[in-house]
Amino acid sequence: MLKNNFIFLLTILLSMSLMAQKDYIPVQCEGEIPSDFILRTQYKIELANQNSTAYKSSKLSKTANEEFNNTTNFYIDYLLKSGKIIFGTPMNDYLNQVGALVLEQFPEIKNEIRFYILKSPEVNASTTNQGIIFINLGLLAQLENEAQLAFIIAHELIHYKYHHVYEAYSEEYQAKYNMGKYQAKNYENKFSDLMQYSHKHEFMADSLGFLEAYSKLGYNFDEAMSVFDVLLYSNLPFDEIEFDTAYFDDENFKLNSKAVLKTPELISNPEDYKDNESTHPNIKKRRSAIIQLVTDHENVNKEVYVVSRRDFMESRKTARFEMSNLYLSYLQYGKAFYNSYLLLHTYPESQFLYKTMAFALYGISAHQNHGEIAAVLQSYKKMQGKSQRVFYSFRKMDKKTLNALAVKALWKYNLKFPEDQFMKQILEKSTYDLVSKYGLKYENIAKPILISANTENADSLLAIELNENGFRLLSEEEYNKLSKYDKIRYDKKYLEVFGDKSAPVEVISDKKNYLKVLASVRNDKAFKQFFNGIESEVKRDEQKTERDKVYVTKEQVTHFILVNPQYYKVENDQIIVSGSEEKEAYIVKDLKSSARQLGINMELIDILQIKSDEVDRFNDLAFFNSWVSEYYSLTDNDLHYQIPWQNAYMDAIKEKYDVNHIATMGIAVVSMDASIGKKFFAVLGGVIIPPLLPLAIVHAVNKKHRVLYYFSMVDIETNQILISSEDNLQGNLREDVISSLNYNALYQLKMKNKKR
Amino acid sequence: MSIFIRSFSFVLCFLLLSHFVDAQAPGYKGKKVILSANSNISYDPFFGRYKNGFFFKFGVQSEFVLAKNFSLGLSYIQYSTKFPDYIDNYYSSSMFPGLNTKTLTSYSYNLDIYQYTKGSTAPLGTFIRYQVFYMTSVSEDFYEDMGPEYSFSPIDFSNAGVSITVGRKRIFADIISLSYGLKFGYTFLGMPFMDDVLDESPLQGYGRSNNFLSMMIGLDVSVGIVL
Repeated sequence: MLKNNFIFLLTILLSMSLMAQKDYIPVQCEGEIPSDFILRTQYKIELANQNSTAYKSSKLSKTANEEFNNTTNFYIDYLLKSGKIIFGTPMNDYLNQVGALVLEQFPEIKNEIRFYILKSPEVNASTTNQGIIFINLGLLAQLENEAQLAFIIAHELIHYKYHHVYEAYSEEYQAKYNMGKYQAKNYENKFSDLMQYSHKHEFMADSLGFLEAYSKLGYNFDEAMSVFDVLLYSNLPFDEIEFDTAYFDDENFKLNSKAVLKTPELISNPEDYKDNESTHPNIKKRRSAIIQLVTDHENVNKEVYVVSRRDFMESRKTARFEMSNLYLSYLQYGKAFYNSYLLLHTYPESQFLYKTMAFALYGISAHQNHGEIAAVLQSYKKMQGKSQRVFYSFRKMDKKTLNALAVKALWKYNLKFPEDQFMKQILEKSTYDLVSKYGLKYENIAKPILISANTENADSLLAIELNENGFRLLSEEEYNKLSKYDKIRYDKKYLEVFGDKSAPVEVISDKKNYLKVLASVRNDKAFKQFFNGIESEVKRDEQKTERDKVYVTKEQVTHFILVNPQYYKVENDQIIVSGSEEKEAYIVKDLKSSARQLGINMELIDILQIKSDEVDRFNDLAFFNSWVSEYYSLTDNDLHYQIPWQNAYMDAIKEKYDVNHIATMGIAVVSMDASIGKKFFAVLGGVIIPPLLPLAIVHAVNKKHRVLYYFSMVDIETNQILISSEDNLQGNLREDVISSLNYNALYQLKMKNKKR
Repeated sequence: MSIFIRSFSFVLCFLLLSHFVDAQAPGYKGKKVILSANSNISYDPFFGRYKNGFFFKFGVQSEFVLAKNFSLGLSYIQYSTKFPDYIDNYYSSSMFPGLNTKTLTSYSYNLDIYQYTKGSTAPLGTFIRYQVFYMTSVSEDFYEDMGPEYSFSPIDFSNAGVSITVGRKRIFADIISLSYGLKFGYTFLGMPFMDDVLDESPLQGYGRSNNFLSMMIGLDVSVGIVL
């Protein structure tokens, strides 16, 4: 009885836990913020200048070394403070565990290393001279197992241990200034030498990573070789599953045959590609070098997981889900659509996946309506493998069909998840576009034809058989369970044995086919009511004057958030960090003072203000940064024709800060020495007119400064840009200039408030 | 006195205009008026024999911001020079022993149009000032020091002219303004050694030339307060 109760309770808890996981929420950092994110860049540079051990045997001057510390710390901090780095999550915990395992083989650097995850879809990992190892989400999503991750970490640790980043810089520096062996070499030869030097580092990282660490950890040596498949096929999605264009079809509508790709291009990534212009040697060379080592060493333990298989799978799952989110944020809608499509096979109940697919359709359609589809959809001609069919269909579909399909997908999503207000808004916007741009009326939507529900089981198994070539034909289910790399191998073999397996495509090319897309939902009373409502709205808007159509904030702007202000100083193409953080703080203080003078309250969210225990604020900053980046990618000459994906998460932020306006600002000061010609003419002028000689000398000696300033404010209620102030002026950035620029930007707001 | 009242009225009008103008004129943190003391050092590179070639001028000026890159101003400036030892065979120190002690003073009333460069916001940053001016010049009475046989009336004449100043304006502590620039000017009826005003005396001709040269090229500096 007790046992039965326990099982019942467990079942309830499990189902609750599954329900809780139904809607995936994008990854956020957790716990205490590491000091890497909070310490001032200037402080890090000073510390690096004092402690640099790698440079003692260097041929470079102290100034060159300081330039290295300056530049690398600036760019790494830029990344760390951008919010694109993940820390403190279970994914990080797992990464740290595998990292710690590998680091046991490197006791001398053990305490210097930190592992973070970079929100990037690129299949890559990187090392910094400061001891930070970045593992990209794109890499985590593609790895097959923990052993591969351990090999990559070992590879990166060798780069750190042997100061490869600094050595590469030193080499480039010598090439740039024609020092040492680079004397009297032309550009091509220098470039070729630098690439060869980089190849040497990569071979070293592979082989020493294997010898010094990987081979001693108990992992299967085969995985050190198979990791090169991950790199070789990194241009492909994490899996290869046939995309059936029947996904768009129903009993009333079939996609025009011209939008259906008969045979996707076979994947043919060659291993032995030309690598003389690449920092990395080609895969064939790298794999051969490892094979040599593997055959020379005995593989005692052949483990694929030493730390935890479950944690690896969980981390990879999170990474794969996060990829859909990243792709949508980066406007790569085709990739987002297919990524979610792939995941849907394993997680058919995930609301997040339906949501991302419906949004991707909307995004592609909105861009197609504005003739900008290339911005969000890669050319299918450059693609290989099964995902090519997705990109082909979207490219070949006519605008009306695409828009109607987006509306249908959004409608179905809203029926299934009616509580999602954000997607309701997207549905309205997409339907509005369909009605206003293409004049679609409810009565023109094709009436549904009733057909028998005797549909073929899509998951029906294919016969399993062994033919005379020793090739076993897999069921669809079995096939889908294969890894991406095994699928590629299977497909190649299949083609050898059976030839082209594609079925002939039924020819459908009705120009009014788009009217059938919504036929299946036409008779839904709720749909009719909804559609008629949008039609009325379009009619109302058509009667409005141009002035009325301009979206403006109805309320007075009395409060806004300034997100991550930026200040950069560049002298003779060299970024100057010294004093920049103080200057940025001053600029922000002045802006706040101007806002106060104009009766506006400004709240600042800036990394310089965040303390180590304010991880929520850090996450907000990361969100805002990402949102701002997406928003402006979607803005064309202040025209904003699509709702950003990340608005899905904006309501919580709006409520938290009680704000409807977000502002961004940045100042860059670019200084250059005056050219010899300008100096000469300045002095000449002074000689001709002696009273002007002091001025002429000052003019000749001083650097020429240019200040670039921008301030932008968005109304997140209407998604319209409220203020966009850009200035480009000559002269240095003095306090009066800062005050004037800041006040001017906010003054526009005052004028708008006045008109309202 | 009447000049003072007229100037004051102009200043008041501009003050009111700049206050009520509903343009995108943020001014400097909302401040749109500058009152300043002005000085100008000019140099005659070609005819520097007169007083080492330098002219020093002093005056006051006001500026009223009317748009983001545009402002109007009124200013007044004056300068004095001594006559040289020699102007011609007649007007020389041998004929007039006190000639080089006498002063010629010019008063200039100016209307200033400031165009600030793109990116600058009036009244701060780089500007081009177009100026239209009216000058009156008066000399000291020669009669006082010399006998009646050498007497003649003090000269009194007028010039008009235009100038362009390319300059830059800075503001300190939100209240002190400093402006500096190069000024290039041209005075009508004042080309040196031109005989277009034949009926005037050599002294008057000298005065006109002097005005022309003093306006030709100069360094303009002013310090004021931002209101």
